[in-house]
Amino acid sequence: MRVSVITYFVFLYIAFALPLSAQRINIYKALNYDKLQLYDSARICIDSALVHPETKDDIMVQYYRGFIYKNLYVYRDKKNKKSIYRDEALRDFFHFLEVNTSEALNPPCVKTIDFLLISLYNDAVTSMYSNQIELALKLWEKYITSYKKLHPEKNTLDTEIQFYKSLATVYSDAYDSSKTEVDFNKAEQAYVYILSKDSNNWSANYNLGVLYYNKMTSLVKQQGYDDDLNAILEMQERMTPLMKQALPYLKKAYELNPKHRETLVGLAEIYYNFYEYELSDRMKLELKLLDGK
Amino acid sequence: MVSKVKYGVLLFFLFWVNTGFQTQYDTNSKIKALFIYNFSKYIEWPEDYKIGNFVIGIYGETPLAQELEDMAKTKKVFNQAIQIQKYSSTSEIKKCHMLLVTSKEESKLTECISKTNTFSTLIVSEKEGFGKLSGINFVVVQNKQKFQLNKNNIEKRKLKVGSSLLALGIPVE
Repeated sequence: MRVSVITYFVFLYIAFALPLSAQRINIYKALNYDKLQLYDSARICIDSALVHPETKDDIMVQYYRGFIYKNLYVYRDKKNKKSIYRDEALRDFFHFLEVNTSEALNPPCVKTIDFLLISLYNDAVTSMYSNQIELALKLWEKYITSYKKLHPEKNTLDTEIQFYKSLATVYSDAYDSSKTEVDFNKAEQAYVYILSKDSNNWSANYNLGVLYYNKMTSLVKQQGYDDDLNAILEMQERMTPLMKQALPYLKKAYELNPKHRETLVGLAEIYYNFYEYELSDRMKLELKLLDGK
Repeated sequence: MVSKVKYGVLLFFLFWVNTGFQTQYDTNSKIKALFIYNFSKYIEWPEDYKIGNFVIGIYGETPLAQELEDMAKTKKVFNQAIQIQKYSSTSEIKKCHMLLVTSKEESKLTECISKTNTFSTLIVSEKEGFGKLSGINFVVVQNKQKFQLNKNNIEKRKLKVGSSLLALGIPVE
């Protein structure tokens, strides 16, 4: 509980020294229950104060409610990635910050929001890691929107790129197994999004090139010997656009980092499979020089 | 901050392990092998060539050899098992249904043709300009694999070309 003990006793004094309504007492009861870790009772009292006409416009109600719900989240619901307590706490704190005219209580409020946002971020990451992609995206969206609102002066580009890189990797892995257009498109969109934010991002350029190239090779691998000549020609028609899509990204990756071995290998291969033998040989030569041969 | 750093590292690792091509794969060889198998389907050999194995000879080094060997493990030409026969010199060349003369051995094409003159062997080459010499010549047109087809050279060897193959090949007089 972030509300200081002094504040707590001040309000207790006021509660008993001055004539107060039942709703005001509800607020103090909520604080007391919270202190005693009787969170459900605290919640009932503060929720009652939130809706009552006498106290609903008191911004301190939302301030205290934020902390009570934060505690409910931390002590009851931390493993729940979809925790309503966390959502409510954030909502209360943000509303408090919007209407609060005194700066004094802002720091603990901001600090607690940051704490909750970190938990959102971590849940987004672990969701992605456990292949709960839709949930990861929802949590991420909540995180980044709230973070930008809280810290408008901060640059979130690196964090966003890191998240989408991981997302693209998960989708690429899914595509490697499934070979479905849906998974391919999702991976593609994730890399394209990164490049829209940072066109010189080496890994997004490289991996998008690889994605297109791997799709092309899958087309060829899947082609059966029992398919007729027309099928072979049609397959080549589908291959060419993918190679043309892969090449500029791999070339860009090469420009950004000419000493990356895998890029040279990839370019050598893609030029070879595109029948550009001279360019392929050039890449192979650079590879030899890189390997010290 | 520490928690965010921990998961940031996790994210980085999750990303870092997945860079690179799946495997190095020679699509050109696969495409040529697909064509070669189709040549066997759409060209008719004389009756005495329909007994025993369907022999595809390869003269010269080529990555296509591995693809053809893999194909031979599972495919047949009608009822004939496919046998891949590699030759390292023209003196080794024997009767075969097809003879692929690789681009590295372009200087030996005429010799190969001469060596198989009495056989119903489809000569397959892969060098620009060789369409007039061989029966089928692989060429690249706008970054795509195509093939030239010399009907006269093929028919001289008592082979009959199916209309499907004729329609898709680039004719060479």
